[in-house]
Amino acid sequence: MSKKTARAAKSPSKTAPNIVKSETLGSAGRPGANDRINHAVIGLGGMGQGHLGYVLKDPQAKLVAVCDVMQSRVKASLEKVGGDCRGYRDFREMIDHEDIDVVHVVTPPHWHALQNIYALDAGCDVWAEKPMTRTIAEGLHIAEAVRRNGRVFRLNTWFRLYGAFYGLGVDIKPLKKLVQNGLLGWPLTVRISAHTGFAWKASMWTGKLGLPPEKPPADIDYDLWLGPAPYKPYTSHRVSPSFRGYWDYDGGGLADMGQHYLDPVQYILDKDDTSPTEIEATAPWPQHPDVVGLWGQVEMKYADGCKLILESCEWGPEETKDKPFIEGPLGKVYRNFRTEPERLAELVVELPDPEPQISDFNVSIRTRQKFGLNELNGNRSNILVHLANCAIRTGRKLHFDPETLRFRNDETANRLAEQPMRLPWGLL
Amino acid sequence: MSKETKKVQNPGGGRAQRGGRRHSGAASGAKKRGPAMTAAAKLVWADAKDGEAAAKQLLKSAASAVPELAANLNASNDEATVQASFALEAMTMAASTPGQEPRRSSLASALAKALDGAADDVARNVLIRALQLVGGDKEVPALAKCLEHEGSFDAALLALRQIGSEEACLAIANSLASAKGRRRTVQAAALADFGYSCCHPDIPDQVAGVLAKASPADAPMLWAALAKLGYAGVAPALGKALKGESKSRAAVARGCLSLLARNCLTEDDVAAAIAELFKAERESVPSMMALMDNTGEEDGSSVPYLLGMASSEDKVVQEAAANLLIEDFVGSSVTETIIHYYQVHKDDTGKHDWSGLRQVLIRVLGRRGDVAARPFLMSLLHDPEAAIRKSAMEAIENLMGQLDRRALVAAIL
Repeated sequence: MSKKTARAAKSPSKTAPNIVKSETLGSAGRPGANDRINHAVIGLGGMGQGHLGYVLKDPQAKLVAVCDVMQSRVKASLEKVGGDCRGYRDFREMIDHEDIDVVHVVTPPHWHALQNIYALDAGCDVWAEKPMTRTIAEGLHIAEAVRRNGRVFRLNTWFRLYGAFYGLGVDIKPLKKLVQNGLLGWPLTVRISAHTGFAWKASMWTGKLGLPPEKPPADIDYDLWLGPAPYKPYTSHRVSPSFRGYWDYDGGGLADMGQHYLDPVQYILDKDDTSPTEIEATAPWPQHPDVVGLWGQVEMKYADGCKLILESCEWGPEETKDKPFIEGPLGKVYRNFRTEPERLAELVVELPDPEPQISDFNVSIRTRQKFGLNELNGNRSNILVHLANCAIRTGRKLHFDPETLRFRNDETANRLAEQPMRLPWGLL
Repeated sequence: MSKETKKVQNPGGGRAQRGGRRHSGAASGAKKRGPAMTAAAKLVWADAKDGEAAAKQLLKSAASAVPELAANLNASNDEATVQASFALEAMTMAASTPGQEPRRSSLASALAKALDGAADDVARNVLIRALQLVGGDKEVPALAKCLEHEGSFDAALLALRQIGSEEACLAIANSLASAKGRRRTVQAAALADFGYSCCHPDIPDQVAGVLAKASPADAPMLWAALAKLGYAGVAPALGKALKGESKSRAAVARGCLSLLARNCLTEDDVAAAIAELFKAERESVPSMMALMDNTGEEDGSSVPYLLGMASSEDKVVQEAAANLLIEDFVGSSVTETIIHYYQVHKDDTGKHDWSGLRQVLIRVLGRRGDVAARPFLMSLLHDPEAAIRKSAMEAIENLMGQLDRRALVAAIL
């Protein structure tokens, strides 16, 4: 590993961020405390509309441009946002013509790494949708682009920072406090299933088998929609919003919800600088080479014995019913923060808080400090999603090296984890 | 796993499994249903146990099963195509299980032989995609042949790049001479995937030759290829693009110059790449990072340069320089250099936002972890400027841990 790559792969600092007061910053073209920050959004589907909302609601932000390969979406979005915001079909033209501080990448995941890196190399900060990438290998390219350009990067999930953690009924701060103070013991098992509060949307995001090819409508630039993905004949189900059901672009409900659910778990377990070493799935097998199917359970073990159990509750057995969300040799925590022993719930208020994290992206932009969920810890939780899907697709137990980010002794699994892009697209 | 436990039996509609609409594609006449397709019909969203058993059976007769399955693939994506796709995936994954080399080899061989008889491009690309996962050097000639056909060109190129061997590299290089138009440009760019060590020494020049005749739209892909190959001759073109009007092309050029600086083999070439960055953007993070990536960190000789960058009016540059000083340099001599810089410039009131820069330097000292900085930081607790005193207090806390604030107050008094 070169010096440069080694730097990019570095773990996020374990020390608390030293937050610079934003009023001290803001010159030489960077937004100061009183300047509005220019945002642009690429990808105007369902999540893209959500990002338009983020920008429009933020008094510090100004939306200067929107972009999508579907012209109807561009038109509708421009009508929605009004003002002097401009629309584009090709993100490169948008970069050429606009003065952008922050690019939101809200396209399907097969575009994420490329567009993130384009924006970073163009001197923009990035607010990126999850999953961070479509393959394991792409994550380090983003981390390197962030590093070489000195940009800040935010992944769009937030449960490690704030907010009730889905159906668990509690935010993760008390869980983090229990774990970091050793009150649950070690190693820990975490169950992420509908029974512990997390719906995996497995059947929602499966693809459709046997669809006949269709002629792409005039509204879409299909070749640009495919971009780096292998060419496949067009079907309307293949593109937005159902692209999650096709391996070339995403990875089903697991990839849709995975970083929402797994990123906070990595944080609770203090695994932001490592990955599981053993991964095994229970799922229908074989999977289809193009269409994402269902899955039942995925078990991922870390080298220290900690274990994640993902259960879709939409196929196969349900072993997580009535089980705790997190369990160690000394204690358990169930939904709604019911604990065993009961006194854990009371003790938690006495425990020291976790280290602070920057949870306001505007602060990161103005102070140039890393956002709480960034390209490094975000990549680690992104890897979990792809490990799970590689295990589902290969149908065998996989062994992963958290340092090299490659599977041990499994060439085909590695070929799934690191795929070339259809030229002319490629990563720097 | 028993079928009773399944919650959803036909993900995504599973039309093929329900015997849904069938298509009558032109290729359907070539179809045949033998033992492989009989097995394939049972593999649509099968239980793993059934799937594994069927895959083993199919692999035992790969030489006959693959042509039968291949004959049932076609662009209409009908029920037989779906079933054959499941079966080929089962064989591909099972044969690639570690320790199954003979099975992988015989499957790959059968897949390569079936390419010629594929009903159409879509069918051929399904087979090529399987070879992308299990193919090796023996399959390279068959894949190279697919480069000659527009409909299978992209898929074959992806497969050859993923195989990633010298054999695959040379196959692409050899067919470059006869390739034209887009295929020629794309093939040239693909050669960069194989790395300098694998390449024939002429390959970088070949790619550069293609770049010389390429359209402006194709140039970025070839810049990237030459940067990956460490070909310093591309540096001037990248420098020109970096100074050009198109910000998106400049973005690619910026990334390529960073990559080039990393990949060049000689010091002169590295210097040439970095020089182009500096000519276009003297005070920028990419320039600074490219320089720092190629200079020694141990002796601290880069520290004065970084301190200069930390004084930049561009806060992105300033913070990036500060972070490098925090994370990449250890030792008290570096601490002394930073303190010396602070003291030499402390009366430099003409400089922009000097208070801000002093706070950055104080923060750097607090976060470098060198306790030798403590006496100096303590002395700043008496600074007439409140913001400096506050920064010093925070730096000392960072350096020493959460000190008793009362002790600090006592020190001030």
